[in-house]
Amino acid sequence: MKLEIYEIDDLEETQILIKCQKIDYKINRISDFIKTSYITINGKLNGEHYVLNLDDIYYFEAVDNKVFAYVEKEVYEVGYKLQELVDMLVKTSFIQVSRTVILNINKIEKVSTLVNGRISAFLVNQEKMIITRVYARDFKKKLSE
Amino acid sequence: MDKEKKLFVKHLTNFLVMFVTIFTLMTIIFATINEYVYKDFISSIDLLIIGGVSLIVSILLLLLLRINNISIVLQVIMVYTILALVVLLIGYFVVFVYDVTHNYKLFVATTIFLVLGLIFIIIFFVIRSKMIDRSLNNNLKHFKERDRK
Repeated sequence: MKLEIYEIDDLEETQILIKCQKIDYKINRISDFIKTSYITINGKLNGEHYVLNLDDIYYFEAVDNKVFAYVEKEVYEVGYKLQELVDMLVKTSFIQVSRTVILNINKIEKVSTLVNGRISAFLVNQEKMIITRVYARDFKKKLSE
Repeated sequence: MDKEKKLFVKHLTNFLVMFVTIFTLMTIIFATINEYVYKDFISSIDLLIIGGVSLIVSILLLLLLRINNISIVLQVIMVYTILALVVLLIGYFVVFVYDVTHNYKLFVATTIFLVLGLIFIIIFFVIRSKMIDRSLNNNLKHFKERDRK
């Protein structure tokens, strides 16, 4: 495989071109990675706007028609609806785990099954999230993909 | 069919399944004991009382199974214990198969088997739960490793 990277000063938008004989699993993975790497989330905290790195976000939570992004210590308000985030982050490590929460799987330390098909997820920051029965099947499917 | 009607049918089906299971279970237990231990038949009044008790126990168990914040092991233990107690109480007070004075062996044997059953259920669910957790955590580990690459 040959990789070429060109720096062009006056280019308006970064372009990535993949030339391959056939689109296979690896190409799809690279494509997904590139697409998701450029997703940025704008968050608002104390009136200031910040660009949030997806890898730093533990989960998104919808509260009273507002959606918040939880990073390790801060909570940012984001300007998206929860369903917009679900659609946007479908190829990432984020997955909806309840009616109001989208969780970053990479921030889960361990999981434990609960009653009625629910799953308890223990995050690396010691928080505990409940994956409800409705979303538990998709969660298991995503883990085994 | 609208949503409420579907929900009603679902609850009704759950109730009927529960009721038929409990009623059949108790009828078989007491009919077998009556037949093989006392060479007797179970009377229609006993059957009516068993039916009534099964009705109450079914409603109680369905309500119990709707409680979400208790673990599955605890739920199963509670269901099993309630059923075991109902069997012993009906056997003692209604069908009179458990005579602790003249035939204590049957009562002791039933209690021992019920306790053994309970221990078996607990072990089964603990092992099953641990296996599912292990598999899920392995998948989680693989997912995170894959995502890092």
